[in-house]
Amino acid sequence: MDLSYNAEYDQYRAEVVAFLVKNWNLALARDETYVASFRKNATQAGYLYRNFPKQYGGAGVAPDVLQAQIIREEFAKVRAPKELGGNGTMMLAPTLVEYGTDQQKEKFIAKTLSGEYRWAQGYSEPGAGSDLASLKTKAELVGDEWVINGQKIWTTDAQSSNYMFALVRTETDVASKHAGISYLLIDMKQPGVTVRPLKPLYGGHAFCEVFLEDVRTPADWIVGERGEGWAVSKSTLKHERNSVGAATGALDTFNKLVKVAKTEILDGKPAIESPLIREQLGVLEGYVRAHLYSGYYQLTKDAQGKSAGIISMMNKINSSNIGHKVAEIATAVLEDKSLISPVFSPDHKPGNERWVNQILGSLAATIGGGTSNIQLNIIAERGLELPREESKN
Amino acid sequence: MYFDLTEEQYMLKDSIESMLASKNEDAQQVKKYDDKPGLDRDIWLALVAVGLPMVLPTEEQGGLGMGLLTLAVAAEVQGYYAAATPMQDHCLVVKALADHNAADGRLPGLLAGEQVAVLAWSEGQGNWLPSQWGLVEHDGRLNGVKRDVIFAADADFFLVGLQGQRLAMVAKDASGLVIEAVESVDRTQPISTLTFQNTPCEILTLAASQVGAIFDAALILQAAESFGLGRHSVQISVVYAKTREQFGRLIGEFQALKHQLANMALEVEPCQALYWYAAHAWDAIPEEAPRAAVIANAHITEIAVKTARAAVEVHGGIAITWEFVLHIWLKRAMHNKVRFGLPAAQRARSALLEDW
Repeated sequence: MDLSYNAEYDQYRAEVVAFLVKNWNLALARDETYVASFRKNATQAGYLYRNFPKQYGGAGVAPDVLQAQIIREEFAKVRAPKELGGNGTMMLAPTLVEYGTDQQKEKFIAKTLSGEYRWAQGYSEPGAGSDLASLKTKAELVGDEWVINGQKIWTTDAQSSNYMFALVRTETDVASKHAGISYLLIDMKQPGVTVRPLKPLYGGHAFCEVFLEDVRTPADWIVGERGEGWAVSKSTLKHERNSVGAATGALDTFNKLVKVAKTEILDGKPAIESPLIREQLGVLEGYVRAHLYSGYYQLTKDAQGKSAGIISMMNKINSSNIGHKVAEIATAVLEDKSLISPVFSPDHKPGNERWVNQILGSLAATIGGGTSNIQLNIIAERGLELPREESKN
Repeated sequence: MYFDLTEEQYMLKDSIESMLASKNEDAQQVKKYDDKPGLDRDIWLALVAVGLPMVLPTEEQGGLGMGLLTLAVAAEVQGYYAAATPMQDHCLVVKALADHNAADGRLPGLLAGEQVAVLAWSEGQGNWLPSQWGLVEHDGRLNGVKRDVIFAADADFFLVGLQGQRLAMVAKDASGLVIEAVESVDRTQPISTLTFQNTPCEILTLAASQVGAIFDAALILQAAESFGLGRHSVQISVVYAKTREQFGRLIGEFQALKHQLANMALEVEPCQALYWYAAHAWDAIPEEAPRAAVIANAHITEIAVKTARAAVEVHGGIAITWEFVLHIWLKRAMHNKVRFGLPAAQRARSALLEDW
C-alpha cells in the first residue's frame, strides 16, 4: 500500500508542473484565443488528447493511467483547462478512432478536438429511454444518402451543435432490436432538423428535442457496419479512464458544504454547531471517503491492466446517492435560503442559494446516463450474477 | 500510487481463508456456537501459527513490524468467518506491552499465543473512549468495574483503561478480581463484567499518543472485521437468491430481490477501501489516523448491522431460527457496532477532531 508515486512519476509530475508554470496564466482564463493556444501547447507536450493519434490533432502518447492522473491533479491545482468537454471530444472522437473510416477520422477528429465542430448525441427518444435499443428513428438508404425520420430527446446543446451522432434503425428483419441499429453522423445545419430547447427544472436550457424530417446524410457517414450501431456506441475506448475524478469532485463538494455550514446561521449559531447537521455531515463523509478510496483502488487496478471487479459497476450510483445526501444537508443548512432561485447574471452573483442548483441537479444526475434502477440491475445481474430478466421486446 | 494489498498480504489472506473455511463450515459453526461458546482453541492455535501476534511489534521489539494493514486484512477474514477468538484484542495488548517495555517478561508467552490477553475499557453508559475511562488507580490498586470484556474466562491478562487515559495490566489471578460471565447475545465474543476490589495493577509507561494509537488501532481492526461480516451477509444472501424457488422461479429473478441485494453490495463493497485507508494511515500517515479510524469504524460497523438485517429479510423465515447460521453474523455485527462506541458517538468525536 503506497499512496506516493515512484521517482519516475515524481519526475514526470515535476515536468508537468514546470510546463504549467511556463505556459499557463490563470489571469487570462477568460481569453478564448489564449485558452485555445494553451490547449494546443499542452497537447503537443503530451498532456491533453493523449490517446488520440497525432495526425488527427492528438498527442499520440501511449496510455499511462498514472501519468493521466498526475496531469489531472496538477492541472486542477492551477485551474488549467483540460480537454474540451462535451459529446464530441468525450464520445464521438474516441468512437471514430476505434470504428471510423480513414475519411471520417480525417474529416472530423481534429476539428472536434479543437472545438470547431460541436456534436449532439442523438440517442434517447420519447419512447426509448432506459430501453434505448427500442428506438424508432428510422434511416433508409436512398441512392447514396440515408434519409432519416424521427425524434430525439434530452439532446444536450443541440441548438449549438454542427453535427449529431445518432443511433437509428436501419434494419428490419433481424434477430433482435439491437441488431437493427446503425450509428450515423448527421449535419445539424440542414432543413428538416428542428431543435426545440427544453427547460430543465433548475432553469437555463441544458437539453433539447430534435425533430428529424427527411434529414439526409451521405451513405458513407455510417460508423461501423449496418446493424452494428449498438456495439459502436458502447465503445468506451477509455485507456486512461478517470477512476477518481467524480469521487474527488464529491469530496470537494463535501468540503464546500462544510464551509457553507460554518457560515450559515441557524437559530443564532453557525449551522455546523448543530448536532443534527454534524451527524448528517459525519454520515455523508463516510460515504464520500469510501467512494474516493475505492477510486484509488480502481486507479491502481487500471494501472495494472486488471479489473477492479464489482466496485467498478458502482461508481455512478454511489456518486448520485452521495448527491442526494448532499442535497438533503444543503437544504437543512440553507433553510429558507433554499426557497430562493439562484440568478446568474453579469452584474449578479448569487449567494448560497446557488446550492439550489445542486439540490435540483442531483435528480438529473440520478437519471441521466443510466438511471439508478438500471445501475442496480447491472450490479445485480452482471456483478452478483443473479438471473437476467428477459426483455419482452 | 499503489492502493492495493501486497502479494504477501493476499497470500496471508488466502491462507487464513482456507484455514477458517475448513474449520467454520456452517454446520460446524452452529454446533460450536451452541455447545461451546467461548474461545475456539482450534482456531486460536491456527491463527497463532500464522504469526498474527508478531505482526504489530517492530523488529526491535521482537516482532515482524508488518503494520496494521496486514493485521486488518487478517481481521477481515476472521470477521467473514465469525471466528470465535479475541485475536485483535490480544494483538493490541501485545503491542501496548511491547511499546511499554520490549523486554517485558510477559511478552514471549503472549507473542507465542500460549497466554491470552484482552481489553477492558467499557464502563457502561457508553464510556468507551480513553477520555471517558473513569476507573481510578490508587497506590497501584484498582477499585471499580469494567464491563463488556470479551473472552474474560479465557484471558490470562487484561489491558485495563484508567482515568487519565492510561493503560494498566491486570493478571487474571490478581487478588480481588471477580469475573462474572454475562449471558451474551454474541456467543462468538462472549462478554463478562470485571469487578476490582483492591486489585493490583501495573500501569504501562506510555505516552497519551501511544494510548490513543492503541485505541485507534482497535477501531480499525474492528472496522475490518465488520467489513468481512458485511461481505459474508451479502454473499450468502446472493447464494440463497440463486437457489430458493417460489412462484415457479428462483427468487433472485424478482427485481425487488435483485435491488435489495444490489443495495446491500453497494453499501458493503466501498468499505474495503475505507478500512484499508484507515489502516494505512495508522501505519504511514499518523496525523490522519485518529480521524480515519473513527470514520471507518462508524461507517462500517453500522453497515455490517444493516446488511445482516437485510440478509435476514432476504432469507425469510429460516433466518429467524436459531438453527440457521445467519444470526451468528447478525449478533457479531451488533456487538461490533456497540463495542468501542456507537457510530453517532464516534462521529461526534470525529467532528471535534476536525474543528468543525
